[in-house]
Amino acid sequence: MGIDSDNFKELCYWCRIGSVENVDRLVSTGVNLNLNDEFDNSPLFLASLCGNEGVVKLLLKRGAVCDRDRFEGARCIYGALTDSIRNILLAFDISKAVDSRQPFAAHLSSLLTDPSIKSHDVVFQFSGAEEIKLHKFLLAARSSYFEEKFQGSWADKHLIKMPDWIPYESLRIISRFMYLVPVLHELGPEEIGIAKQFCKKLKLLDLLDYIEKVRHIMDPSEKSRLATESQFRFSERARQQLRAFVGKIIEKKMCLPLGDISLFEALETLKSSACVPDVFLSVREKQRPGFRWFYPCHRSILIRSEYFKIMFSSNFKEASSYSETPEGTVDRSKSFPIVSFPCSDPAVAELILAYLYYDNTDIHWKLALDVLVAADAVFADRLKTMAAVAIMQSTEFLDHRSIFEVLYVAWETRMERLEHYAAEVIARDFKFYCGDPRFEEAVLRSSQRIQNRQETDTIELIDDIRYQLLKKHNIDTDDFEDITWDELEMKPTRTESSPYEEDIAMLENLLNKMGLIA
Amino acid sequence: MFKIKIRSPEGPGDGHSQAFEPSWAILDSAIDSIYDGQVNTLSFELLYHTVYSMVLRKQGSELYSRLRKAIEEKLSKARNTIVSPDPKLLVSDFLRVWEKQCDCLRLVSDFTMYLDRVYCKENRVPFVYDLGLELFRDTIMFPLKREIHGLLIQQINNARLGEPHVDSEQLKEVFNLMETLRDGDDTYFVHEFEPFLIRETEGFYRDFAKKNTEDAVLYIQKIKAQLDTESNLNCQFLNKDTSAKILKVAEEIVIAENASFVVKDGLPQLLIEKDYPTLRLLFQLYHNPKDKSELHKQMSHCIIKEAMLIEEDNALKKKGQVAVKWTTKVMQLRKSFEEVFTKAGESGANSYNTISESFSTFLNQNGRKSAEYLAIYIDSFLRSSAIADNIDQMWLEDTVSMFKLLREKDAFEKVYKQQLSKRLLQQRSCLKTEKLVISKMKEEMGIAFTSKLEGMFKDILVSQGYKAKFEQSYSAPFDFEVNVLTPPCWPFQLTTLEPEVELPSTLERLKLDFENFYIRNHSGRSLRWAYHLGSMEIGFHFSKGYHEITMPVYAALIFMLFESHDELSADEISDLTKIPEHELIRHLLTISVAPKTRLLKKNPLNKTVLPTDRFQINYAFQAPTKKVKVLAVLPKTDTSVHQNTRIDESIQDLLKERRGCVDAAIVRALKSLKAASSKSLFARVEHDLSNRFTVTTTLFEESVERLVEREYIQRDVDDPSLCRYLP
Repeated sequence: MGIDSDNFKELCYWCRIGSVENVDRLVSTGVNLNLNDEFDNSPLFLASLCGNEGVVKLLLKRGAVCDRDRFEGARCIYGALTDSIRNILLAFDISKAVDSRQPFAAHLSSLLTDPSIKSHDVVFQFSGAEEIKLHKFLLAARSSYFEEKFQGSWADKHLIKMPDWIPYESLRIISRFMYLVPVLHELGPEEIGIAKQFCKKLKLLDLLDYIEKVRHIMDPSEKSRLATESQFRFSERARQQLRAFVGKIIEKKMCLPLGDISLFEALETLKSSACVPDVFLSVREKQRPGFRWFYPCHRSILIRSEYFKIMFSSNFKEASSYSETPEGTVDRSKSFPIVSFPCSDPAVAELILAYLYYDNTDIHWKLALDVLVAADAVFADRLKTMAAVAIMQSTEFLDHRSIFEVLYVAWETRMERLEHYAAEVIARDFKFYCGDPRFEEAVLRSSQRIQNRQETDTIELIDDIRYQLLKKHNIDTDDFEDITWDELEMKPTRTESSPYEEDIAMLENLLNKMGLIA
Repeated sequence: MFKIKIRSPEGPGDGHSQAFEPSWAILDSAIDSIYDGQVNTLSFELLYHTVYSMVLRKQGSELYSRLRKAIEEKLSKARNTIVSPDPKLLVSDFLRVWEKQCDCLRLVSDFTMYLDRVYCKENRVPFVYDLGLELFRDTIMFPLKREIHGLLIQQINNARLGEPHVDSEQLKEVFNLMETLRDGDDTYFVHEFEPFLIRETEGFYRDFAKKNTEDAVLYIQKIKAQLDTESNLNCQFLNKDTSAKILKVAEEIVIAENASFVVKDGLPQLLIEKDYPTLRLLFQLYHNPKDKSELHKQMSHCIIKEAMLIEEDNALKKKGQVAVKWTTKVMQLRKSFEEVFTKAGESGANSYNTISESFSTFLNQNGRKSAEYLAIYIDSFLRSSAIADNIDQMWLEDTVSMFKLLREKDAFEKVYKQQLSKRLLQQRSCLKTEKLVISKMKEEMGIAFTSKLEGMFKDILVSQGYKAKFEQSYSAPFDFEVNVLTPPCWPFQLTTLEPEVELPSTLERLKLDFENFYIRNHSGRSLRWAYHLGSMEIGFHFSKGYHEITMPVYAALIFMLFESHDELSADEISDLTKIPEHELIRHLLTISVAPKTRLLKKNPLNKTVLPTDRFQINYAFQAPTKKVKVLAVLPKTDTSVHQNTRIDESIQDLLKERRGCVDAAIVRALKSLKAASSKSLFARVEHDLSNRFTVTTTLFEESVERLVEREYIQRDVDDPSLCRYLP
């Protein structure tokens, strides 16, 4: 597990530094948050000690455990740099319900508990007239038992009547487990007994493992620790399962010409595949004009992006092409709509799918810019941040792509972080960039942006670069607040032109040449 | 080294022209379809990407203004469909248009979401949906304002008048609409409709008040009912905030503005009729503090007026009876008003204060008399309950709370002390009860006020101890009781030397024995005998029967002379007893002339005593009981004059005491202040003495003059209003 331990070390580093984005990125790779480093420090302790409130909040949200009754937890609380962090930690104390869910897990839970659109395609009915509506694809992804069933005897069924001897409660617990609703803390002995019967049959080994272990633990705090850890493991397992499932989706993708008669038949086959899709995602194929890639996808996952959420919850054609069975499930006999992704690269589309299905944020720098633009178009804000971080973290990116390209995309997608990054890069190698005609163009564009808005007379890019130059030459901005410029020039140490002043002079020259005042 | 990749927005939208018009045409026709109810034929994807591309091509502002125009057009069309001649249908038409517009706007804003998030946010203009609401307000709401508002208020007023078929659901919907629309910094409802509603409400209630001012009681009942209806109505369709405002306005008009006649004319009537339900309503209506204090003020007037009607029943012979009757009536009145307040649902500190203040004002209009009467009242009560062990706590509370209201407490103290001394010496009351009363006063007034009274109790207790000790070492031939009194505590003037009288030998020996006994115990003290305070009990066999007669010491001394004499002249009696002349005459009259206690025969029998008048035992004396009590008479000759002088004397006493108090208070204050202006000095003295009596300016000025004369203080040379302490 070399990568994992490297990731963990990096995570610890960012926890100390206080970079919420990097912590988020690493956590999304599935690093276990509740480990300790070689000095016996947990990420949460480091963040808490260093006073990084944002990181503390994120870690807690993503399932870092702060249990007052245990040494590690108590240490976090006592070590907290500020009262505010201390209060956050106390509020998240394990004795209260812990939300150990990652964003994808939280979304899955919401599909069961609080669905924003009606996308269930199977309903289980019990003898007592209770019923549970679920999603076939998710059950299939999470359990091989269901996968087989939906391919076999239940293939065309949307209504499944359960035999009398199966209690409603069993499927209720199992479905909550499958949808990653944190259920363990609420399970009483009776529920555990019921759940156990079905774990084996459905091959839910994680849950079975927990049930076996928890029987031997009496101490409530130990029990709760086990529950939290298990819940974390469940979502990691679910992530792997969904990763495998996305693999299948990608495997099944088809390249077809748009408007061809064969398209309809092809999509019908895709529809009845093991992926059980209810929407087809199409991406243009660059090489073959008129051809498109089709992915068998799921509305309930796509709506994690605000764009698809509005699309499927409003009354436009896409949403109104679905109809309901009398039992209230999606009528799979109707044909499903095709929606497209705003990108022309299947690799980018697949990356976005991986993000939507299981929070994958491992973005290769080559794709990062395209992912950023696409994410902006579909309102996946977190993915945007991740793409920006991928650009900023990459050591190779600038060897292949221009910083100005980054700057323009940053403007277009309103990624302020990336704008600052561009300014930093330019400032870092100012002599080099200053001579570049593209820099002039960028300055000009930046000034026009301002003129459009008519807010101030400054040029944002120039301001950013000036600031970054100060940083680069280690000049404390506070110096300028105390001393006037005259005084500064009088100082003997400053009379000989410092590297900073050289850079500034270069910048002023350029601005003069361009006839800009900023 | 660098490759700039030319990217263009992807999606189905690309491929078509970069120009504005073709893109807009797509959106424009989509809006038409949405308003035609054919949204399900439209591709969200296409519309969204059209907007997305336009925003990226920096056509956001153009797009925004075109959207504005398009929506405006739709709204104007919709506006023209609201034409129903029937007012009721007009409102429902209006609501129908509103619902439709909201639905359509929602759909338009769905596909323009990228414009919202990017263009609108950056340029700080309202989102498309909010833009639509603004346009609705300007295009439909404002032009229809008069009509809609008019119809609404008509419905509300009808409901106020009790029309049963008011569509409160519809009203609620319209108000929700108004609360959804923004106007300025607030909602349309708050900005436009609420002020209108309040104005109209004012009008309605002014009318209402005008129509119903004939009868106060009826008015109270009517406005109560109307206000109840109002608050019920408001609950049905108004938010809490507005509802509270409306109720406040209504109350202001029907109560503060128009109901002064109710308290002026109605209140006395209600009090006379004891109409508690209506009084209760009245108090409920006057719940806001300003109204309530006005009501209490009127109550206070009524109380004082009623109290002034209590008359002193001068038909009664004795002053005591007059006082008791008067005080009892005052106390009853107070009780009855307490009851009024309680039954009107208005018990509590407020009403307690009102009652207290009213009675205080009343009692102090004739302060000295009130104080005196109350003291007499207490006296008569304590005398009558001498035997009762358990005092009536209620009575005690009531009495002490009356006492609290008195301002001239020194006058009360004077009378009370006098009477307490009599009760104690004559053992006419229960000691325990007396102490309870005193301790209550102490609670109220502090220890200074009651210290002398407590001194009296102490004397009595100590004396009982002496008696027991004395009887151990000396044998008395008869029951004998001595009270040793410490003069400053008691209200008697013992300064003038009491002349020694001739006692019969047995008594004389007893007196000497006691003096010896006392001096032995307390050397250096001197005893003086106050015969006029004592009494004796003598058994005597008259021809018609045996009687035990209790009489004042002087009378007893006279009577006992006849043990050894058959007949004596007044002169001889004087010689034998050496009783001062006026006392001798008084007591001779008591036992020879007063009809019920004619123990001696006087010759001649008339109402004056001359030195030559002769006396002998009246063996024919008879009385209905075995025990007879002889009360000393006042010489009849100059009763009226005497009484007046007595009253004058007590007033003089009081004034003298007051002067002393003021002098002392001024000196005390100046000693600590060194110098003070007359004004502040007066304020301080007034405050210091407020417990005892009210200091008047004349009293104060006189005092200052006196002190300046005596060189305790001096006036400042430059500023005569400034007083200085002279050390």
